[in-house]
Amino acid sequence: MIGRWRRPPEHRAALGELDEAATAALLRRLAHDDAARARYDRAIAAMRLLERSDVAEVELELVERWLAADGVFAPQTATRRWPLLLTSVLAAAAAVLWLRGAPPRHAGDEFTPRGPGDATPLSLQLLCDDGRDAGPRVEAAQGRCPRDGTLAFAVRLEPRHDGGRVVVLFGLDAAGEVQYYVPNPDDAAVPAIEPGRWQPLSRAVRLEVNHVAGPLRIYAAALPAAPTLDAIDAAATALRRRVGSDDDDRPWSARLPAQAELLAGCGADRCAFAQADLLVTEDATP
Amino acid sequence: MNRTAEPDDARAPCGWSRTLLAGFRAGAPEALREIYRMHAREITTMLRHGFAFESNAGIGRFGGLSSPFELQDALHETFARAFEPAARRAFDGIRPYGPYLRTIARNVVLRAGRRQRERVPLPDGIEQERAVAGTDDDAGDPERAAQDRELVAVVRAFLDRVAPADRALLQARFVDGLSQRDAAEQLGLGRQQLRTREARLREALLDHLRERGREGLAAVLPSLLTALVVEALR
Repeated sequence: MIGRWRRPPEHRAALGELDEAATAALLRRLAHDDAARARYDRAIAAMRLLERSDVAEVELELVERWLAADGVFAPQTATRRWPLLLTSVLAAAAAVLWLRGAPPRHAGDEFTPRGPGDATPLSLQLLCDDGRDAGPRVEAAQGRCPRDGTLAFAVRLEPRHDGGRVVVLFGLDAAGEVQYYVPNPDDAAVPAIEPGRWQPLSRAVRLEVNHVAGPLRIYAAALPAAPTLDAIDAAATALRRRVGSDDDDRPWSARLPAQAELLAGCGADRCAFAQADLLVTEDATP
Repeated sequence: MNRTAEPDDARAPCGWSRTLLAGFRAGAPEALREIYRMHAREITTMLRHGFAFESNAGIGRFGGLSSPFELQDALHETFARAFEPAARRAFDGIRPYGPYLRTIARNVVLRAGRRQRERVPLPDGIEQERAVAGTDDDAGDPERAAQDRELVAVVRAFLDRVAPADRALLQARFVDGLSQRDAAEQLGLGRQQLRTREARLREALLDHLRERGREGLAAVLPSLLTALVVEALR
């Protein structure tokens, strides 16, 4: 049997494996991608034949996910797809953080934020649960997390920071695709964090959903107010253009245009930024 | 929201519980999801099989959307419009909601048809229903009919090699129409066992489809290459 991650997204959709955001992204793309649409239609048609039905069971679920991703079931928080998974990962993440205290911020920890280092009042920690160990491996070998693992996040704001406390997280993967974490099309809620302690975020990401193998750079910010997804998109576009350029080691906020919507209200140290790198691997072998 | 447990006086004239109606009007997500699940199949059936309609050109018939993507797109658009705040407020809770949704679905399809006609003007004499996007008209599209036949053959080949135990599962679920719970009971399986086996069957079918797609390409590739070479040598 073909590994799940080797199946085209159209087939994974037909198997009901894509979450709301990925389902919506795929279905929107099908309107302009004839080849993908043909693959998708064929896969769903096969499901209809298997079920001997004019409409396959999964079709109604897919549209429900698409509506949810589009915010049609808003305004309250959309239903989370993996509540049990999320709870266990976050509980484990919290336990790890409690047992270990504040994670080391530099040498020896591949999840250490890059960029401004100690100068920034925001720190970001990536937690990988590969499903094989008892809890998230904070010090995963060489900063890796397998694609069938789950990624969770913890952030810390230094007490000296008296600016914005609304946390935003997004990533850019090896394919240059933006990955929305907080907020995301499913869940517009953004948490405000308390300075002075590590806090796990209520967001866990199954990497097999929407992520490709390869480097994944994750950007975090503490802002005065929640940004729109468009503002995140614009920032990701600017960062994508800058990848590999000479100033790539500067704090990521310095790589955005001064008028970037994401930086609105960021004057006079009102915002804080961090970033971290991760290598998403195809298998669990480090 | 248990609709069956409520007394009649707790029901709105449209048949919903008053709690559900209030939640719908307020845009409560759980209410909107419940209403989607109540009506999605009915609207899907209508979009799949088509409907008659009246226009300036007379009575026409929309043949239905056979393309899964087009059908889902229309279903999505229907509920997105129906659940807009203004549309929710406009629903009086007196008339049944199904016909209201069907009207929206009809308009979604006919509007899409009009847009297509504007882009690609059709010659005179073509029936009204042909002007609507995605009509289910395999007879008029030999290429698609051939693709459909090929798909049926591929799925049949897959089913022919399914193990007897899995065949019994397919019989219970999709021929006898049992729910997963009832099918599990009939087959002496745990519900989770049945779900896992059904999921694996679906995965195996799509893997088979993918493999056969490659084989199909391999079969036609030599003739395609020959045609290209002949064309290049002309």
